[in-house]
Amino acid sequence: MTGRRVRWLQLVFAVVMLILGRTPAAAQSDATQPAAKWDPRDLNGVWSPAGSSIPNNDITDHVLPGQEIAFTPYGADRYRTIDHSKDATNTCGPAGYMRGIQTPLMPFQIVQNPKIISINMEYMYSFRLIYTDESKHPADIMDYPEWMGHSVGHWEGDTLVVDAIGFKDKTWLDTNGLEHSEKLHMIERFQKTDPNTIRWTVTVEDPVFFAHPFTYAFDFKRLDTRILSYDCGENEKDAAHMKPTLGGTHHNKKVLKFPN
Amino acid sequence: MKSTLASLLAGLILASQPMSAHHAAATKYDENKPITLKGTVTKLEWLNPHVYFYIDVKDSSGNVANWAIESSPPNVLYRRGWKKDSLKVGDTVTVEGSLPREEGLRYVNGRTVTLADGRKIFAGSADGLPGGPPQ
Repeated sequence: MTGRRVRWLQLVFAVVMLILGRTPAAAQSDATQPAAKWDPRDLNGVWSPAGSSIPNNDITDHVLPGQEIAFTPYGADRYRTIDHSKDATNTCGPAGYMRGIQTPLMPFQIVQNPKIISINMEYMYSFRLIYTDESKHPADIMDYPEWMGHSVGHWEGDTLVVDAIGFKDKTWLDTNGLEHSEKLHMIERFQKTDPNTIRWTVTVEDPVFFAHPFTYAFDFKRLDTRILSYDCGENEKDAAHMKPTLGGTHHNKKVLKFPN
Repeated sequence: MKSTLASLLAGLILASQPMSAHHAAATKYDENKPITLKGTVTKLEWLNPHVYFYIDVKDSSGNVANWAIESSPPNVLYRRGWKKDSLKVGDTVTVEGSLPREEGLRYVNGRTVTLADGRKIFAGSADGLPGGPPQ
């Protein structure tokens, strides 16, 4: 073995030792951190989006950096012609899951056990179930879509990862007029970043409306309140006087991409 | 301190934007039709999906008409500290808001409601929830 090759092997050995050596050092450093006094997998509580730039649930305000909402030609046409006076909530239909928890002024309550998580929304007084018992989506869910879809979840570390499909196409992704089809597929991540904050990151996939998936996120903050009743029909006086109001109303138009 | 004040002010300004509960307010109201009314409260409906109250308004000829003022959902007002008896029948109020797109309706999307002594009632509520007019 030449001296040169020996020196080269010594260098490789030194680098490998350095890498290996870093791992226990890093672990040791983490171990010195105080143990969490809160359970990162405990999502129970009343929550509401915080930090919205406006009192609204406009998804374009929450799209992650570098992400864009790219419409298909069909999605673009629908976006331009959507009629807010035909919003399903006008006739007391469910607002749907996304609007139900993105709404800043009406909170939701998570009730959790090891096998199932229920998200109880004040808005339209509705609920959504997430199965965490290793259930699969029903084989015929796409033939029998539901207002809240069908959701199964599992834990990756301390992050709850939820896969949801089977949504009726009558709900919107937000009140500003982002629609979806029954092919909507959502992957959500619920991660507690402190005792009073859940980071909710959603990837939306819908080949009918969007050219490719996009991801947005909200921080949910714990609220010291209780869920109050809300329904649309008790003293409804608006629907009869609504006029056609066409086109999506999003603020951050930079993230909207139109093919035509 | 400065930033706290700035965010407080920003919050107040944002909170006073007219918003709608279960739909976009612009489907019913026209922001370009502002109106200010002074009248006497005749009734309060503390009900979903929006709180309504009614005021008798006298015009310059002395004719009295009853107007419906639309506000936030009751749960939203409640969390902001307003109660059913915060506004009483007989109170004199000045309402600033906008008229419906439909002609001839005596409805107002209430933006601010001010009592005779200057207190703002249901302040910053003007209606409530997701949605809002097209921007």
